[in-house]
Amino acid sequence: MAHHLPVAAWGISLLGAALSVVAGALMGGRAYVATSVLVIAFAMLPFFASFERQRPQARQLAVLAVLCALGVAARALFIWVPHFKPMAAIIIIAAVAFGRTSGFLVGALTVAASNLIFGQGPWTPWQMLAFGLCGYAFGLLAERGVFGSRTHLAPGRLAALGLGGGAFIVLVAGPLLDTSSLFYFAALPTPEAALAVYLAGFPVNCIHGASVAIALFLLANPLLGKLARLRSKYGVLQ
Amino acid sequence: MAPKPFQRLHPAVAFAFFAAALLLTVLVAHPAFQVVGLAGAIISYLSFTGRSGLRSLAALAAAFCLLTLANPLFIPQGQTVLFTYLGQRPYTLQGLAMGASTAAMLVTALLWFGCFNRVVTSEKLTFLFGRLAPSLTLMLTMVLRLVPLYQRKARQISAARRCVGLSAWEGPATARIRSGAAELSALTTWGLEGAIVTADSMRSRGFGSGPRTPFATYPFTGRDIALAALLTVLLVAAGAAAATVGETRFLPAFAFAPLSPVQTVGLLAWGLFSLMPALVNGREALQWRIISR
Repeated sequence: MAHHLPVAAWGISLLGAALSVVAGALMGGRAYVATSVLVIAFAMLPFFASFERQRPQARQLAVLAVLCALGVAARALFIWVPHFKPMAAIIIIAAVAFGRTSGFLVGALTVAASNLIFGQGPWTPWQMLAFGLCGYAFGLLAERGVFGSRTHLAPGRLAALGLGGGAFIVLVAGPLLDTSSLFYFAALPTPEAALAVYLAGFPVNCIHGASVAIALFLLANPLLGKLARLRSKYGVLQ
Repeated sequence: MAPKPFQRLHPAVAFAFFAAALLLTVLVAHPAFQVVGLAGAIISYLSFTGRSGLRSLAALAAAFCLLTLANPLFIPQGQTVLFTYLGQRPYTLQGLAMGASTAAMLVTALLWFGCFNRVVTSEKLTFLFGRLAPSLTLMLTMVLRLVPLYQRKARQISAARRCVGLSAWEGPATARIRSGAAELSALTTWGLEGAIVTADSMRSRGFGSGPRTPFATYPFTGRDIALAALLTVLLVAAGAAAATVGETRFLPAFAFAPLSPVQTVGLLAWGLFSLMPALVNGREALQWRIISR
C-alpha cells in the first residue's frame, strides 16, 4: 500500500483542527468537548482520504472487511469468558500482516461497525482513534522489522507482540478512552477528576490488556500464517 | 414495526438535525436552554421508543444523580458551602449545580444518540456518504453483512466441536480460551476464502467500472424541504439567542444573565427544535386517532 498521505488532506486536516481549537478557546465554557471530537475527526481524515485515493481493488476491500468483521464477531466467540475482549488482537494481527495504513483502517472501521450494530454514542470518535492508532502503531513496528518475519513469529517475538499489545491497551488506548470519560463526565477536567477517572479505568484497562495479550499469544501465528497464504496464493495486499 | 414519520425523512435532513442538536447541546451552558433541551430530548426519545424507553430513562436519571452528587467532591470551590467533610474540605452548592449542568449535557447527548441510532440506520449512512467515500462505505456495508454471518458460522463451528468432545463450555478457563481461539482460527480460514470468492465475483460483475448506486433511494420530498426550512429558522433563532446570552459561570458564585424578551423567543425556538421529532411522530398518531374515532 502507498504510504504517502495526500498533502492536501493533511493541510485541510491541520487547518480544520487549528480552527476548531481557536474557536473552542474563544467560546470557552464546555466548547472543549466539541473541539476534542472535531480534532479527532480531522486527525482521522487524511488516513481515510489516502485510502479512498488509492481506489482499492475488490480483493483488498473484501479481505479488510473480513478482518473487521472477525474483530467484531470475535467477542461472540469468547462470550463465556467475562470481560474477554479480543478485538484489539485481531486489529494488531491485521496491522502486522498488512502494514500501518491497513492497520489504522481495520482498527477504526472495526469500532465503527461494532458501534453501528450495538449503538453509536459520544464515545465513537474516541474509540475509532484509539483502535486506529493501535493498528497504525503495530503496523509501523512490523514494517520496521521489529517482529522479524511477518508471517510466523519466533517465540521471543511472539512474546514481545503479546506484551506490547497488552501494554499498548493499558498505557495508550485505555487512557485515551478514559480521557473521553473525563471530558464527558467531569464538569471541569481538573487534575483531581483526571486522577479519579484514570485510577478507576486502570483495572478495567488491565483486564482488557491481559485479554488482548492472551489472544495475541494464541492467535497471532495461526492468523498470520493464513494471511501470508492469502498473500502468496492470491496476491492480496502485497 | 412500521417506521415512525421521523424515520421516513430524507437521511440528510435527519443527519443534519442530530448534528445540530448535539452541537448546541454541548456548546450552550445556560441553564434555561439546558432544561428546555433536556425536556425536548426526553419527549422526542419517548416518541420513538414508547413505554419501553422508560427503563433507559431511569438508568439515565440514576447516572444524572450520581454525576451531580459526585462533582462537588472534585470541585471544592464555590461560595455556598453546604457542609464540610474530611476535616475542612467543602461540599458546595455551586459544585453541585455545575455537576447537574454537566450531567444534563451528557444525558441530553445520550438521548439524542438514542434517537440517532433509531433513525439514521446503516443504509442511510451508506446513502449519505456513498459518494464521498465509496470504498469506506462499501467496506462498512460488507462488515455489517459479515458480522451476523460469522456469528452464525461461529455457532456452527462450536456445535461441531462439541460433537467431537471439544466443547468450549467445559473445563478450566485456559482450556476454554484455547478452544475459543481454535474456533476463531477456523472461522478466519473460512472467512478469508469467502472474501476471495466475493471479490472475484465483484470483479466479474464490473466492480469499479462506474459510479456506485445506493441500495435504497430516498426522495427529497416537499415535506423534507418544509421541515428543513423550519428547522433552519429555529436553529438560527436558538443559536443567536444562545450566543448573545453571555457566559454562564458557576464559580465562585452563580453568574448567568436573565433572558431578554428576544432571547426568550430564541429559547422557545430551541424548545420547538428539540421537540421536532416528537411533533413529527405525534402528528401522524393524532391524525390516526381522529380519523379512527
